[in-house]
Amino acid sequence: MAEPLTAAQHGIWTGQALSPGSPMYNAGEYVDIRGSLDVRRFEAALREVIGAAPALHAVFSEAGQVVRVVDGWPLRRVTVSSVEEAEGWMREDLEVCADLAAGPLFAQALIRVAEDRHLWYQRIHHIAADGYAFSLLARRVADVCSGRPGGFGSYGAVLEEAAVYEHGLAAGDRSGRLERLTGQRERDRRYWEERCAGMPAPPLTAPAAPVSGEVHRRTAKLPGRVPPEVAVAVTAAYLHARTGAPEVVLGLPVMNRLGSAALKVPCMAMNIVPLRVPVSPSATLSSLAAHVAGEIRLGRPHHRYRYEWLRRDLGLVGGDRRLFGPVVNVLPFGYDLRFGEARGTVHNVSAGPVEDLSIAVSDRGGPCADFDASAAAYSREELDAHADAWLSLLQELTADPGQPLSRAWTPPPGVVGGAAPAGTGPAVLDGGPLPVPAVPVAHLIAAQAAATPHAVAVEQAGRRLTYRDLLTSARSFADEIAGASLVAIMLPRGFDAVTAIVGAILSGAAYLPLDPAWPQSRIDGILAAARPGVLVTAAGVERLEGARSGPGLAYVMYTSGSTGRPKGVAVGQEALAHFVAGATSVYGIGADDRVLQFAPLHFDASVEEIFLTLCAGATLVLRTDEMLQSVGRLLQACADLGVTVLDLPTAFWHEVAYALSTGTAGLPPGVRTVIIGGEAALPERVARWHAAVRGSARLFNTYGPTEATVVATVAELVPGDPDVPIGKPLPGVRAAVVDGELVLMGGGLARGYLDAPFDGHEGEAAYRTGDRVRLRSDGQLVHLGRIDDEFKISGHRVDPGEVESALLLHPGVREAAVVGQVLDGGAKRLVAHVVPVEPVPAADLRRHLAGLLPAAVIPSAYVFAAALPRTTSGKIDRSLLRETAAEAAPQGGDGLERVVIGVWEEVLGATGITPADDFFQLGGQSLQTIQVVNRLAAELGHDVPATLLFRHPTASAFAAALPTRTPTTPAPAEAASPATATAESAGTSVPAHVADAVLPPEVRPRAIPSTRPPTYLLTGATGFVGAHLLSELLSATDARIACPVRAADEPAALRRLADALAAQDLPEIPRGRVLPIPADLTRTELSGDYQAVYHNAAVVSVTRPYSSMRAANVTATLDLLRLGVPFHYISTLAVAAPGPDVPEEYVPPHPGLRDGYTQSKWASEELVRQAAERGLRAAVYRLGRVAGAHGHVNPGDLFWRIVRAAVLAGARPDLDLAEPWTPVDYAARAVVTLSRTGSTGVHNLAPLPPIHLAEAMDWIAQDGYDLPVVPLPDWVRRVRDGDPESAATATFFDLTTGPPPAMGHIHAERSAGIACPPIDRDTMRRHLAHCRATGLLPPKGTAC
Amino acid sequence: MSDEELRSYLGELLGEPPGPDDDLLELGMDSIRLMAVADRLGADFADLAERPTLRAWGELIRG
Repeated sequence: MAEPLTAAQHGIWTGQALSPGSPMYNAGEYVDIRGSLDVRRFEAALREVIGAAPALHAVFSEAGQVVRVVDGWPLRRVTVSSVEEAEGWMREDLEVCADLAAGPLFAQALIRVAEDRHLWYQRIHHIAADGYAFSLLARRVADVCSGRPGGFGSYGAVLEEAAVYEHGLAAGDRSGRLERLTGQRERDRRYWEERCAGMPAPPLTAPAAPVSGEVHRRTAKLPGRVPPEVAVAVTAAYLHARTGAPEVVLGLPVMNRLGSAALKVPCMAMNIVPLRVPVSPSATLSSLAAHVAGEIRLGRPHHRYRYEWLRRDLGLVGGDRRLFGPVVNVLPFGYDLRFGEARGTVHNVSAGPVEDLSIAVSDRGGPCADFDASAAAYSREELDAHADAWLSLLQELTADPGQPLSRAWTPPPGVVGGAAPAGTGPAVLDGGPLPVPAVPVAHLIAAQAAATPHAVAVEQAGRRLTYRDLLTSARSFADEIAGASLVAIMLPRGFDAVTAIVGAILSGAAYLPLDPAWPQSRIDGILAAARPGVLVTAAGVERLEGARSGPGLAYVMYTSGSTGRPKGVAVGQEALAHFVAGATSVYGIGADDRVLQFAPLHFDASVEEIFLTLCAGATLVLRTDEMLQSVGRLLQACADLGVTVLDLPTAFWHEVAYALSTGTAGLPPGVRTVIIGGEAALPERVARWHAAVRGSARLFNTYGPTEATVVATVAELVPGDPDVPIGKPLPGVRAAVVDGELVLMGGGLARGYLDAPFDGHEGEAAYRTGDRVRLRSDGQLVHLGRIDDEFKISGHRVDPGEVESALLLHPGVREAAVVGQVLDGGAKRLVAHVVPVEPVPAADLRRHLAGLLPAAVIPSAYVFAAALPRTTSGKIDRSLLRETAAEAAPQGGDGLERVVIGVWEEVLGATGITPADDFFQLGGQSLQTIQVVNRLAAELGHDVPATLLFRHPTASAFAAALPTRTPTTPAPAEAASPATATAESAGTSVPAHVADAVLPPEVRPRAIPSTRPPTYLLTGATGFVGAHLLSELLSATDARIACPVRAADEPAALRRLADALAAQDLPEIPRGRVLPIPADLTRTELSGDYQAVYHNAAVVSVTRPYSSMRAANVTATLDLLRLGVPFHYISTLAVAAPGPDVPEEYVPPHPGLRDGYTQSKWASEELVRQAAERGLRAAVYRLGRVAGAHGHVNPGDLFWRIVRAAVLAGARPDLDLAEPWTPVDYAARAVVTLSRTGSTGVHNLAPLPPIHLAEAMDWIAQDGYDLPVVPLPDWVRRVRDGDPESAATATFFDLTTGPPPAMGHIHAERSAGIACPPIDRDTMRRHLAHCRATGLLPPKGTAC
Repeated sequence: MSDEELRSYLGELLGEPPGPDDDLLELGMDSIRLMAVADRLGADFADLAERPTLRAWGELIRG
C-alpha cells in the first residue's frame, strides 16, 4: 500500500516534477579510504546497510510512495589513476537523472585509485537522502566492516511522525510518543510568522535568478574550526559589507533530527530555516555571533516547519521572491571513519540545487569550506572573488572578534584610485546585451533624413526644421569646420546650435559646448585647456591656433566642478552610439514622439534629448526662456506644443511634482514619459507625483555621471515602492558595488578626461563614481548619497537626505538641504538650509525634527533663504552651502552673557541662543559640557568648574555664576548645599520638585475600558528596563502593548522597539501584539483606551539639574495619570529616605533627594500617591542599581561609567558604598507579576543583599583588571584628564558632596516570592566579557 | 572521563555547567557541538542525541 509522502519528500518531488529530466537533485559524496581495504567484506557490509535503508528503495508517484527493496543493485567497480580522474567520473555520473517513479534512487561505486586507496562513491537522489543520511550510511558501513554493533531506526516511524506533525493525530491513535506533536505545526507556524514579521527582502550579491542545476564550486581550507554562529556571522557581515543592507536574511540548513524518529534513519528530513541578522558597521564579530547563536537556539524547537510552507505563508512563492539569501551550512558529520584497518574521510561532490550562494563548512582532515554558486546568477570568476573576500573577512574578523566590522572590511585588491578591474567587484550587475547594434549617431541621423526627409526634426517658437533641412545645413557647417577634431560651440539654444552640433558629429569631429553666459575667464580657461580647432559663436566661425588633434570623440563636456577644478570629460563616438542604442529601447522613444529640449547644451542631459530624439526620427522641441517663468507656464507650453516626452533635472521636477500635488498646475495630457535625473529624487515628491499623476505618464529615474555617458542606470518608479531606486544598468552597461560604492564598467564609459584617460586594468576601464549605493534583492540599485557627503557627528553617520526628508514633512518647509560643516575650531555641526513656505522659527523646526530623528543628527543651525543655490547643472550646490556660514541671529544679553552664548553656539553648533536658553535642553551633552568650560576658561583666563554649568544651565544664570576676571583667587569652592540649588531653580523658598508634586483636582480614576484582549500603555519601552518590561508583558499576558516611541512613523517606532529588544537578546515582538505610537511624551498628550499604564520612561542623569528633567520625568507622569486607569510606576530606591530601615512606603520630601533625578522621581511618586488616595489603583516599584541580564550592561549606568574610567585610568578609586542592585529580568518579572495581582502601594525591588562597590571592583580585578587603589580625589584628577567620557564621569564626583548615606535594611517583603538570579563574580565576568565584546572596555591587559 | 570532568567540559562548551537532568539541547548544544562531543567521548552522535542529559551521557560513556 502506498504511504503518503512526507512534506520534506514532497518538496523535492515537486521540484523534480517541475524540472523533469534535470539531475539537479542528485547528491553525491565519496569516502576516501586509505589503507588496506578488504573489498569483499566492504561489499557485503555495503549491501547489508543499503538493504536496511528503505528510503533508498522507495518509488514515488502522486499517489504516494511504495518501498520495494531490491537486492541485486550493481556496485560499480572502476579503476583510475588519480583522485582528479575519479572526481571527473563522479561528476559525469551525477548527470544521470534518477526516475522517481521507477527507481533506483541511488548508485554505488568503489573506485580503485591505488592498491591502498579506494574511493567509495554514492549518488543518491535528494528525495531519499540528505547530508545526514549520507553520514549515517557511511558510518554504518564502516561499523559493519569493523564488526561494531548497531542499526538504523524505523523508516515507518519517520513517516508516521511526519503524518502526525503534518496532519494531526488520527482519531483513536493515542500513542503517547506522538501526542506531543499535535498542535506543534501550528505553534511552529506562529513562531516563524512572528520571527519573519517585517522581514526585508533578503539582500543578495547577485540579482535573483531562477534555480538551475548548474553549480560552480570552489573549495578552500579554513585556518581553523569555525563554529556555526561564526560562519553565519561572517557571512552576514560579508553581505552587509557588499550590499550595505542593515539586515540580512540567511538560510540555515538544519538536520531536523534531534528529538525525532529520523535521528537514526537514513532518509530526507532536513529543512532550511531563515535566519535574520541585523548588521551595523559598529557591530563586531562577537556581537553578531552572540546574536546568531541566540537566534539559532530559539529556532531549534521549530525546525520541523517546512520552509516551503513558510514561503507560502509569507507570500514569497514564485518569481524571484526569496525567503533567504545565501545559505550557510555547517556540517556536523565529517568525522573520520574506520573500515577495519582502513581509514576514510568524507568528501562531498554535489549537495543538490543552489538558489544563490551556499557556504558549507565541514571537517575532512581539517576544516574547509565549499562555496557553491548557482551558475545562473554567478560566473566562476565572481564566485572565486566572493570566496576570496569571504575568507579574508573571516581571517580579519576572527583575528580580533571585538573590532567593529567596518574596520575589518577592506575592499578587494585592485579597487583603488579611480578604477576597478572587471571581475573583482563580485556584485556585478549586467544590463545585458544591447538590443540593437551600436550604430554611430551620424549614420542614424542621416538614415532618418533619408527615410523621412519631411518630418520635423527641430521646432522652436513656431518655426520648424525638417530632417532634410537639418541635414543640409549641418553638412554645410561640417564643410566649414573641416579639419578640426574638436569644435567649441558657444551658441544659445536654437536651430543654429543644434545644426552645429549635428554638423560637428557628421564631420567626425567632437563638439565642446560652452555657455555664452559664462564669465570670460572660465571660457578662456576651458579653451586653453581643451584646445579646440574651431570656435563657433553667434558672430561666426573662428579658427583657433594650437588645436588638438585626435579623432573618434563625440563630445567633450566640462563638469560643473563641484569638487575643485572643472574637468573635461571626453566621450567617444562609440560610447555615444552605445548609450543611444541602450536608452532608446528602455525609454521606448519612437518617431511619433515630441521631446522637450530642456537642458542647457553644456551639460549632458542635452545629449540625451538631442540624440535620442534625432536618432529615432522624432521631433526635438526647443524650449524658450520664457517657458521657465513658472512650473505652470512650462507645463502649459508643453501642452500647447504637444510634447510627449519630458526630460527634466530632478531639482526642477521636484517643483513640478509639488505644483501638481497642490493643483496649481496639471500634467499635459500628451505627456506619456517623464525622465528625471541629476540628483536624488525625494521620496516625498515621488509620492506626491504618483498621487497626482495616477499612472498617466511613466516616470524614469535615471542615474549617471557625465563620465558614464549621460545615463548608466534607470528605474521606472512605481507607486508603493518605499525607496526611490536608481534601477538597473542600461543594456551594455555593467555596474559593481564595491564596499558600498558604485563602480561602472562597459561600453558606455567615457574615454576619460581630456589628457587623462581613466585608469584601465586588463584592457577594461572602470569608473569609480563616489556614490554610495545599496543593491536590493530585485537587482535594483538604491542611491544612498555621495561618499564625500558622509558626515559624522559624535560618531553618528549623518545621512543628509534623511534629515532633509524629515524637514520636508514640516508644512512650513518648501525645500531643504542639509550639509555638514567643520568650524574653524574643529567643531562639527549640521546646518539646515531651508526655503520656507512662510516664515517659520528655527525652534519649531528643531522641535519638529526632535520628534523624528535622533538628537545627534538634528541640525543645530538653520539658514533661511528664498532659494537654494544651484550649480549650473541645476543641482543643489552643496559645496557652496558648506562654505556659507549660518548667519548668527542677533544675540541678547550683557557682555559676559554674550561670551557664554558665543561659546555655547560654537560648541553646540547652534545659532540664536538666548540668555534664557537651557544648555541641556539645547542638546548639550557631557562632552560638550567639558568643551564649554575649556573654552570659557581660555576666554576668561581662569578655570571654570564644569559643575557650574550643571547647577546653572541657562545662559544668564551661568554667566551670573561665573567667577569674574578680577579675583585672582581660584573660583569659590562649589560646595553650595543642594538646598540652595533647588531653591534657586524654583525661585521661591519651596523647592521646585516639591512645588510640582501637587496633583490637579481633575485627575481622577475613570472607568476602565473592557475591550478584550486588553491594551496596556508602556512608556520607555526602548530603554534598558523598558525592553525587559515589554518582553515580559508580551510573554506573561495576552494584552496588546501600546508603546510611545520617539520616531517618525509607526514602522520606525516598531523598528526602534525591535532593536531595543534585540540589543538585549530578548525574543522578537510577536506580530500584532505591539502598537507602536510615534510620539514624544514631553510634547504629546496621549489619549486612548488603555486598561493599565506602565510608566517607565524617564531621563536618567546623575548630573543634570531638576529643571531640565522636569518635563520628561514629572509632567509626563502627571499627563499619564490623567488617563485615570490603573497605574504602575517604575521608580528608584534612591527616592527612599536613608536610615536604618527602608520601608515599602511613600515618603515625604527629605534632604536625601540630592540630585535632580531623584527629586524628579520623588515628585512622580508623590503624584502617584495622591492619585491612589483618590481611588486610583496605583503602585510604585522601586529599583536599585539595575544589573543587565545575560551579561548586558547599561553603559550609561554610573557603576559602569566608573569601571570604564577606572580601567582607562589604570586605577580604581578608594571608594566603598553598599548599594542595592536589581537584576533587570527580575525587575520586569516582579513588576508584571505584582501588577497582575492588583497590588498597590510601594514595592522595593531589592531581592539581594547590597553589593559593595569595593567587592564588585575586586571581582573585576579577578577578571584581569587588577587596578591599584588610589585615594578618591587623586582618582578623580586622573580620570578628569582622560577621554571626554571619563572627564564627564569625574564631573559627577565634583558635583556630589560625598557618598550618599548608606541605606539600612531595605524591606522587600512584598516581592519576596519572586525568584531572583544572584549577582556574583560569575555575573560580573559575563558583564565584563560583554563590555569587551561591545568595545566599552579594552581587552584585558591593555589598560595603560 | 569522570562525571565532574564531563560536566566541566560541557560547561566550557555551553558557557554554563549543566545540571544532571538539564536538556542539553535546550542549553544550546547544537548538532555541531554534539559532533564535537561525540568525537571527544568516542560515542555515537545519534545515541547522544537520543538522551541529551548529563546523566544519560555519563551512563553512556561508562557503558
